[in-house]
Amino acid sequence: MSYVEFERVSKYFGNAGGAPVLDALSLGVEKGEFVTLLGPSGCGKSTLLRCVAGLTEIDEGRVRLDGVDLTNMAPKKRNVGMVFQSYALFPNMTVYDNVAFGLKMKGMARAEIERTVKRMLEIIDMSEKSGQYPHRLSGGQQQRVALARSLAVQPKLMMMDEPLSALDAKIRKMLRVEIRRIQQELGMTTLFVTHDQEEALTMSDRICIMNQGRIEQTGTPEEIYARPKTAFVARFIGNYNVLSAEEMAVIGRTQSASAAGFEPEAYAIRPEAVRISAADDGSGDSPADAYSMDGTVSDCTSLGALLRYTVQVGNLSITTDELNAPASSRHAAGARVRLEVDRNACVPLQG
Amino acid sequence: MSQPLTLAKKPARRFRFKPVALALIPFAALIVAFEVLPLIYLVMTSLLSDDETHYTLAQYATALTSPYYLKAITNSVTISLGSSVIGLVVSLFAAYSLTKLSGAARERLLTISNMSSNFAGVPLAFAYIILLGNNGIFTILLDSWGLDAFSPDLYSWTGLMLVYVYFQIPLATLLLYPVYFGISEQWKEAAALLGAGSFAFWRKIGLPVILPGLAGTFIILFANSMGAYATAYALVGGNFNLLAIRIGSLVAGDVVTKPQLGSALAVLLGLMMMAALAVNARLMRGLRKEQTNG
Repeated sequence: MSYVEFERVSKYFGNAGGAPVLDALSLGVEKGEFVTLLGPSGCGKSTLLRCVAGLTEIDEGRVRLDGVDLTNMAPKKRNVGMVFQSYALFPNMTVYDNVAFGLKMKGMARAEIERTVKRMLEIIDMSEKSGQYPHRLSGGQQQRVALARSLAVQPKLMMMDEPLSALDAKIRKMLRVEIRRIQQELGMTTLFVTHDQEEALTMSDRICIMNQGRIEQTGTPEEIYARPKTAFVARFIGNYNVLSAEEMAVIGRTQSASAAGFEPEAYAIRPEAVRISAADDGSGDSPADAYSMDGTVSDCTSLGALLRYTVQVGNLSITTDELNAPASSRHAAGARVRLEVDRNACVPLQG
Repeated sequence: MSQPLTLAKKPARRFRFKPVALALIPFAALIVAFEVLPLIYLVMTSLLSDDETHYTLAQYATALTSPYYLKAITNSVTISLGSSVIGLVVSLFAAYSLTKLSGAARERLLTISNMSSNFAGVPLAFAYIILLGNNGIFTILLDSWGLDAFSPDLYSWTGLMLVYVYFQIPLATLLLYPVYFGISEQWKEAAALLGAGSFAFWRKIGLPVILPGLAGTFIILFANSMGAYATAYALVGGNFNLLAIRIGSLVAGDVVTKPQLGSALAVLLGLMMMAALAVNARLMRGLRKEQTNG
């Protein structure tokens, strides 16, 4: 049995019988693991966290933590910590008092509280700000204090509900690294919610892609990125080109005989797996294990290190990424180009 | 060299006419006619001798030494403090429950509060008299059931307090209700997960956060009841020794009028309210400073 165990957890809008927010969801999280729930807004990921915290009641199923059934327990008895997107620091208390709050509620001795708070403030590198009130701190600092406040009571499970979404890009990247470092240092079992795929990919041990109250796919960041199982995951995790079997037949027209061989309903091709070259510079000889096609560039955007092209091949629109090397020349919109994809870069999808 | 130039420029800027200032004229006229002039007149009158021949502080001396007027002041302060505290405590819960209601029910209750907070003066006193007066419905009912021990004496301090509280509660509820929206639901959730029950949350976070709102409301309630005249007058006539009633009878009484002394008492009433406001502002500034500068 896993450390955290979700057993067919269901939650419905309004009364039972409404549309499901969580649809018989099952999941296990191991001790010390950093698991990210990733999905678009409204997929139920935040609701799942709130159900674990006891802030929202579940309609069916059970949640267990370290062998203890949490399902009907009061929030303050669950021994779980939570960090909110809005920080939710207590405005009438200093940084020190915010971090000490949970310890005081536990009735811990004064000296012990002081020691713990000091250590927590060291971990988040905020010792100098201990006497400040929250509104004097930046968003990033506030979120670090919120993290320390939750960590101080040593919860068995730490939950973070889009903790970085309200911060600007630079701080967000710094805090990603910091949260991951603290999590690993303390061996803290963590459930992290985000809609940002980059965040999920860089921080997690394991990612659960959620859609409409269900988990579409669970796996390591590498597995999820390289081998999406469904069209939804492929579209959500990267900027995958998702093509139907008929569309694959269009691409594979050079091997037209095998057009009927595209069995699964859909395939996913990552943009960086598509090679792009000017239509006239190749001699037309493409490797036998690759599909090749001619098209017209309809758009080119610079993403910094990458150039992203949208290429029109017949009725198909294919996205391709190319390294924005100083030497490479851009293909302007309207240019005729040749695209090549290795056959094993086309990932078959289910459903 | 440049000095005369800047000097020459300044007056030009000062006299530049802005047409938008015209729009302020009605407002300024109103303030002068109905606020500033009466106040000046009041202060001037309070400094006159009884026969209006010379300026003196005698009226203030009378007001602050006569046991009769001192009693009126303490009575007024007592009933104002009492009714404000009761009003505040009751509305603390009433306003909070308003925030928990559905939109439609809340709107209805707010309308009722709004109406009843303005339902003061003679009509309110009359309503109480026909319900709880000597021949009031409830007095007679309780008498006929042999429960007359439970019928309150409307013409006593209790009765007066009851009537004051009646208009204090809805006013305080209206004033406090928006204050609760300053409390984030997530503070409650965060506190709950850190082991704080509802009581601990309100004691440590909720109340401290709404404290400035509470203090401001209290001052308004206090001023509201210090100045209440018609309600008390209609209920207990001139028999009750309250500051507002004393001022009323000195300025427009039936037997003897002493507008000079009445003005002095009115100035004292105004000063008390200003003092209350100043104390409140001072306390709040201290509190905010603490939370702003650490």
